[in-house]
Amino acid sequence: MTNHSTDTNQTNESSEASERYFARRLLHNALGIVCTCLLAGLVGLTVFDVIGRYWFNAPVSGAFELTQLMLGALIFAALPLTTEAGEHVEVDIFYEMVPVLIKRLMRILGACISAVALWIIAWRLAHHAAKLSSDGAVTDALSLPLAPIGWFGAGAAALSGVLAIAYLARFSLADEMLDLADPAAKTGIPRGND
Amino acid sequence: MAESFIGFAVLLALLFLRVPIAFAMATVGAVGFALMRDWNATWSMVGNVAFDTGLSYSLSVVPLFILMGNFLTISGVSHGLYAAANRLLGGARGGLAMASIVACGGFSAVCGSSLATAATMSKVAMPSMRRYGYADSLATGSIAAGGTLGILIPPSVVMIIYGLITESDISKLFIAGIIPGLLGVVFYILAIVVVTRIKPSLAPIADKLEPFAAKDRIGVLAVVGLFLLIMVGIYGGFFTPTEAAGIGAAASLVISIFMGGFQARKLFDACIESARATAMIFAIVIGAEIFSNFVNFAGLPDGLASMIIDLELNAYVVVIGIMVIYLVLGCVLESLSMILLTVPVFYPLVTQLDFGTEILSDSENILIWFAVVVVVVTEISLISPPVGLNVFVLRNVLPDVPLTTIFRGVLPFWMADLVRLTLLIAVPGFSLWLVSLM
Repeated sequence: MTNHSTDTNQTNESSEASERYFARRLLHNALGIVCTCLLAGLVGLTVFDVIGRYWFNAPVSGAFELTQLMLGALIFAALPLTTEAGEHVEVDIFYEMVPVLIKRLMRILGACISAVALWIIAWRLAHHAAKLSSDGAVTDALSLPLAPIGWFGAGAAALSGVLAIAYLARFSLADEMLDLADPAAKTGIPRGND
Repeated sequence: MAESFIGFAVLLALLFLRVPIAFAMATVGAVGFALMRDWNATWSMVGNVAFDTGLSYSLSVVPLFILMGNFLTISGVSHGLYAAANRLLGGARGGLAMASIVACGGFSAVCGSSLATAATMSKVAMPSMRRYGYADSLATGSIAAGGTLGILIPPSVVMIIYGLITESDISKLFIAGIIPGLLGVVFYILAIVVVTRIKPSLAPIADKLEPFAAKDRIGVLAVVGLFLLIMVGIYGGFFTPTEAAGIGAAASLVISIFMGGFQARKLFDACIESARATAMIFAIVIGAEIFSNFVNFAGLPDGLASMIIDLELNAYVVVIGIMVIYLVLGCVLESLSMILLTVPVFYPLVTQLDFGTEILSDSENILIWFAVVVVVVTEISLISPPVGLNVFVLRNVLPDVPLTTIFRGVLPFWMADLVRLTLLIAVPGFSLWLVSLM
């Protein structure tokens, strides 16, 4: 959680910053708990399905589609976290060579394209969800409605778009932060220190 | 077809301007698709791709294998692997570096990511090599190179994605990676033998080795057991790769709690890390699918295939040409995006080539062999300057070592990789023998 350490310093400076920090912690913990539960659900479902199939001759019915739904929910719940942490993979080979002004422009371009792409995905997911809802689309075995996952995805993608812009704003606070390029942060692997 | 090349050019320009790869591909793909067809079709394509990819059952292996690797990272089994390998090889000249390679290979067998393998092993192997006075170049080079085995030795996230693109059987892809992965270990060790022979001062002989404690034994047993559980489970027909991943994640949680105690905070962080990495990968997959819908609509794969077939080039010349493209792209692109961008274009072409050997006569075999070759060339890109990501992982763990030192240390392994790549292209049996036994 290296990214948050900088904010700890800012909390002392203004209440606005502390509110922002609080909002980010809240988002991080709430979505983090959702993701953890979904991962636990995916793992638990598989284990029970396999154990049930071999030892009790009773596989979990609808395991296939429950996996699909939980996976979808996991991806969409984690998308804001990834965006907020600035972990989308980027190529920074030229970025390292250009002056600060160009770096800023590149950051702005990247954030704008990310936000617009995410908002368009949100809009299309909402459209897709509305269609699923009006068709009354449900899964085969358990007859679970498909539309809610589309709505959830639309909301998460829209929020991610906002966070992409917020990430830009956070980075513009200080020029030296532009140089905090951290390859490990982009790859999503556990960080080295710890 | 010309439209595709314009698309690729615009995409590369956006990437160099540091637009996130996922969104650059989505944007160029959607705009290109719309210009060639119309906006209505584009909008519904975007919605369908995002929804269907998010709910893709075959991709549910990805978060589960990532979670397994992250649980094992905090469990400390990596220390056991290194201690065991040290016991075996540590006495030889360069033995600690060889042990790093072997331990990396071992960790790869339960971890699907090269970056995670390099990051995990560097924390274990680096302090030890420093204590015995190894040169930083050799020490960091061996870990960066050994880490690349993560995507070749099963399980492998990259192989899963390749399987998805080409509709190949993931369990066949996994088993195909085993022998080339072991070859990688052997070639890397040979590279260490050669460099320490040329310059013995790189690696002083370690006279008193570190102890191999009881906890280390348990760690080794846990890794071996987990690998066997997954492999026997998949190849014995007991469960699907997805189920293997779920069971592997559950088992690694047990191992982690058994070895390190119930560290709630660390386990929670491991879950969040896994979720974030998953969303990062899915964003790239969604972007790449939108982009390849455009490229396919523009007729690039078919056009390219028929053009190459018309030229009547030797099949191996074509494959070598493709490898050169990968080596060049690998210098600037990250591995997953490189595979997602290029494999959809190349695989229809490769299956139409006539290799003139029995073993590469059907397209399924060609695709499995091509997967191994592509993954190995991607491994090379992970340690190629200027953006080899494994090198940056090492750099991140050891901020005091200059990048040039790591790249210098990686060079012998890079050359060993080129030899291995050539061998794997020339002898498809290395990749296909185990598959034929299935």
